[in-house]
Amino acid sequence: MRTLTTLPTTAGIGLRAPHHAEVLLDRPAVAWWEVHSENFFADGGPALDFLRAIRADYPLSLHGVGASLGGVDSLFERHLDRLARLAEIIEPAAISEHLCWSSVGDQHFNDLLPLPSTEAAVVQAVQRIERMQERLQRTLLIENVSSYVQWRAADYSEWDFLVEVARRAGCGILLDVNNIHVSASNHGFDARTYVDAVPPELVGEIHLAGYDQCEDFLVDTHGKRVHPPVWELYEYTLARLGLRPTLIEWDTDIPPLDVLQDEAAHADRYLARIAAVEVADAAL
Amino acid sequence: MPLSEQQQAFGLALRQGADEGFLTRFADDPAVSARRFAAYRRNAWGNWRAALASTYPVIAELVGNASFRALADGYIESQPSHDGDLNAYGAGFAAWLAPHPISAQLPYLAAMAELEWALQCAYFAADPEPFELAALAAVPPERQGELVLRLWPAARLIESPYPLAEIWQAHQMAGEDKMAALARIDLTPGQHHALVLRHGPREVEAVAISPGAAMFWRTCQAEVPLGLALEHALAAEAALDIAALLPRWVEQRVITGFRLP
Repeated sequence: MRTLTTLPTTAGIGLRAPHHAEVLLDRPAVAWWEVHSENFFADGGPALDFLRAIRADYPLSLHGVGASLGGVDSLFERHLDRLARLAEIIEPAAISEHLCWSSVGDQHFNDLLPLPSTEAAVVQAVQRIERMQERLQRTLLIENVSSYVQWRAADYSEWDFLVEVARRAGCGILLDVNNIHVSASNHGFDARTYVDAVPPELVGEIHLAGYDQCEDFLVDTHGKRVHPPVWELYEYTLARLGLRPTLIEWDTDIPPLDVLQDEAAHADRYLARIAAVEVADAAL
Repeated sequence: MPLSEQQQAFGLALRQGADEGFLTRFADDPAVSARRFAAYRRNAWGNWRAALASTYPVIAELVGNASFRALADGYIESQPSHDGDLNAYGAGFAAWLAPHPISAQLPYLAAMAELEWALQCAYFAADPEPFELAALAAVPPERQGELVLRLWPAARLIESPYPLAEIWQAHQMAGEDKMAALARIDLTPGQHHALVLRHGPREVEAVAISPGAAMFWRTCQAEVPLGLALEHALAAEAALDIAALLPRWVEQRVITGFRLP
């Protein structure tokens, strides 16, 4: 099997600006960190100095939010240039992007927008992922996004769309379990059907986060603890996939670091149970 | 239907609102899709507002949060984003603010926005070359007048009738200190110069420099040799203490080297 990431198969934490100073000073016991790539698109200065210091002491994953893999735009190559420069400096343990679109023509919308599950969208995303992997000289992970609206035009189910893109582009998958739950709830499908459709060998990382209820649908705010049904789906997913590096993400109303560490410890308990099962299976 | 056409329609609705025809593109009932699509609009606009608030904290303090939000929305309406890096979004804010009616009430608002943009650019700019004053002293005295100083390209000199650097520094303080510092600032229009630099490993700042120092900066920037640059600077300000200025600018890492033609 290809190496999708060199992250440890334990729980890591999304590292955001409110915790930078504390992490630099205290070097807390966290297995690995993930940052948003775009926040470090710098030619020099304090942001890059910070990331180099973190990278020296922890495994680090670069997670992009702006490449617009499915976007029909003129901004991609410039974005890729900056990501490639950052990756060269940081040499991260993993690089991931979202399977979505964010830009068209020369306009960027700075959000993770849903692609129609069409053949045209598969072709567009595959072409960009191939280009990105060629430029970065490594395997990319693509993350399933949550959505609130579903395009009427569709040639695939959401899960077949994700798998088709990953297979054709030869990349890995970052499976966001919270996003599956949010979309399943919003669009009325069974989250386990989604998980069952994803080939285990393609999955290099898992994301967990909290959502918010908004009117009659769920919004992927990353502003809460992981909800119980998402922990249940995580347990189901691990039982199917085996151990995977798992990230706790929190992006709005960011709490003190110890809350995030507590969530990571909770994920680690699920991972330890799977590890015990794997050891027992191996002994048989 | 081409993917680009679907994205154009979605993008237009994000910026201007969704109409009935657009909403029929989604699987749900249009009334349901309308509410759900609104979540995307809120999120995108929220991201753009947050980006502007993070780049322009002093502008937000000068006008107050409610007015800042109205200004941000006006900017967002007229200025699409062209970059996947949200830190780039506010690039045109100063130019957009200059002709805005609010600039008639707060005449230094647009210049302060220019200063805050320069601070952000300096924060992300390439590191200056290491340079020590001793290298300058090693040049034979008879040739020192010929040397051309190299300045850090991300350092920005901003000239204004208002003391922008003092105002900016007062806004970095908190509570009573800030009130007292702001009360001490004389807003009578005059000739003021703020130099934006990245001093130390962790922060960017704006410092006030004198008219002679500003003249020296500009002539050096134009690659005028040191001797002639000093003559211009002293003509602008006879009392300029050049013996203190050079070591300070080396320490602040805005003089990053020199060449002898």
